[in-house]
Amino acid sequence: MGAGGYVRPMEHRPIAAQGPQPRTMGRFNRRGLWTLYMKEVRRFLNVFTQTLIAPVVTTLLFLAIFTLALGRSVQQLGGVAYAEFLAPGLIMMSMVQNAFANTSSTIVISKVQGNIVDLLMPPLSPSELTLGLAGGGVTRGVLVGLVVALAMWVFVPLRIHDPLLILFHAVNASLMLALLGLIGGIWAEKFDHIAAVTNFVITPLSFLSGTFYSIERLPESWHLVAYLNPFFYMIDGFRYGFIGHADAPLLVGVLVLLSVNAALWLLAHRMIAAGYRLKA
Amino acid sequence: MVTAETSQRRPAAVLASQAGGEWRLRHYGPLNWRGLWAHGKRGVLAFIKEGMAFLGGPMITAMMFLAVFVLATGDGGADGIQDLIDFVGPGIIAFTMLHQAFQHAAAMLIEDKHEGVIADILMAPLSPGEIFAGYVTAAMTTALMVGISVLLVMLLVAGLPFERPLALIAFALLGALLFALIGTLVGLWAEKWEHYSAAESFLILPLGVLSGAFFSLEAVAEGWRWAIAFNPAHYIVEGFRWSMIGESQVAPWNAAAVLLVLNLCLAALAWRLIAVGYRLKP
Repeated sequence: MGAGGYVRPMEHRPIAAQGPQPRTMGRFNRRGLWTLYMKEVRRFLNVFTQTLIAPVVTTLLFLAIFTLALGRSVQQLGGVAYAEFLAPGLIMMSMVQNAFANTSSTIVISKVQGNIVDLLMPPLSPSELTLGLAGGGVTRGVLVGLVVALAMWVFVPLRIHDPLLILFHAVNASLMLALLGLIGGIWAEKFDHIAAVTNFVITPLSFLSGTFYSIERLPESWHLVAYLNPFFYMIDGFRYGFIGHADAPLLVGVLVLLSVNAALWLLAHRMIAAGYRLKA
Repeated sequence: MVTAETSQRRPAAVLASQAGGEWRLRHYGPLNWRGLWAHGKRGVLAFIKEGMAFLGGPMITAMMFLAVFVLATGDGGADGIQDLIDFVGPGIIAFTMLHQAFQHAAAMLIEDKHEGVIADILMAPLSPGEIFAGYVTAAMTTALMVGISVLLVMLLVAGLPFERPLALIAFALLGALLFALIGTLVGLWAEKWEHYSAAESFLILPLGVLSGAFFSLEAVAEGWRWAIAFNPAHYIVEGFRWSMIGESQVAPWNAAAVLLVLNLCLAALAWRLIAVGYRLKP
């Protein structure tokens, strides 16, 4: 087996005698997957002012307005100062927005520009496509989260209670939004559709997720609604990793994230395999 | 027959006259109303055609901001919450509106440049002033559409007071104009969408967010309050606040004067840049 995972043709007769041989990729096209993944990563690194620095500025602005507007009236939340309560949620919000933007934009741009065939023609299976694209989104999400967290550290004393939980929630939240972006991008036929998904689904879910307030603030009848929002669990668990306080049981959140991700993965895989709105 | 009357202002388009089938020059007079109308309408229709997502988006975001502020403050009692809504509401309307004015003005120009449509605009019998006015009024119109829809939602849902409608119209026009002008300048300067995003992230959002739209000046540390006086969005927000709830931290006439002077300067600059064809003509 070659370095890139290519299986040589079965018979080892000299090529000249045999003529050109088809190249078989084996069970898993590792080189192809890596190429797709690196394309996705380079795509956002190329415009790092837009994809890494702009989220930092936006998030710091959010931090500024909320601590300035509410810093006095809200002294403590979840047992910590308001800024410390807010910071993990803001980091998470920037992560999920960027993970979503990466996968949705890559698909919609390819479809609009007509170079989606370059994604469908190479010897990549639907699982490899899903993995490569989602991997790019997760990488951007986690990287943005890291940069934003570092910038925020300058202004807010971030404690780390449980690094493993932080990592778990960062990866799973980014994965969820990367998959949503993939599904939304496949469904969308033009940029307006993606803007609609962002405006009517992603923004409300992320704003009403408990980033800015503790769920206990909600009237009793709204608790159930909050618990139905998967965004709530990613922010709640992620925040627990920092401040050691969560509104909901952690295990429930972990199970919700894993099952939602599994369901979304299957859906995305199914859409790519069927060629829904990808193949003519 | 060619009419004797010749206008030196602009090239005249040649048209066949309906009556005798003779060729006649068409004159536009000092202002080409029909051309300006067509140019401005095109910009507004582009916004309307993009669909409800672009009107619904700002409305949802504005309501989300309001909801989050109310929920985060929580136990202020009913009076405390209404006070907060009254304070933040006008700021959110102003912020949404000026953001839209910027976005549409810049996006129209960049798109026209990318798609080469800009040649059609430059070739048409429109003077630089008319080209400039068409872009700016189209952006202002869409900004007012967004502003009015957010205002209506705020009045209905949040029960904001609405004390001086005329003053609000004046400040809305001044504010929309200012950010439409900034958008036009950015649109002229930008060569790619990256430039547009950079201007939005590093100029417009900081100006809009650190304008006092969401927090009171008293919350800012003493040593930093002077900085906000250099933010033009601050005067728009304070004007909105004065028009709606009757209180503001800046005297309304001062705010209007600052906005007027800034608008005049930026309008002169944008007009000049279009007249010389800055990044429009090769």
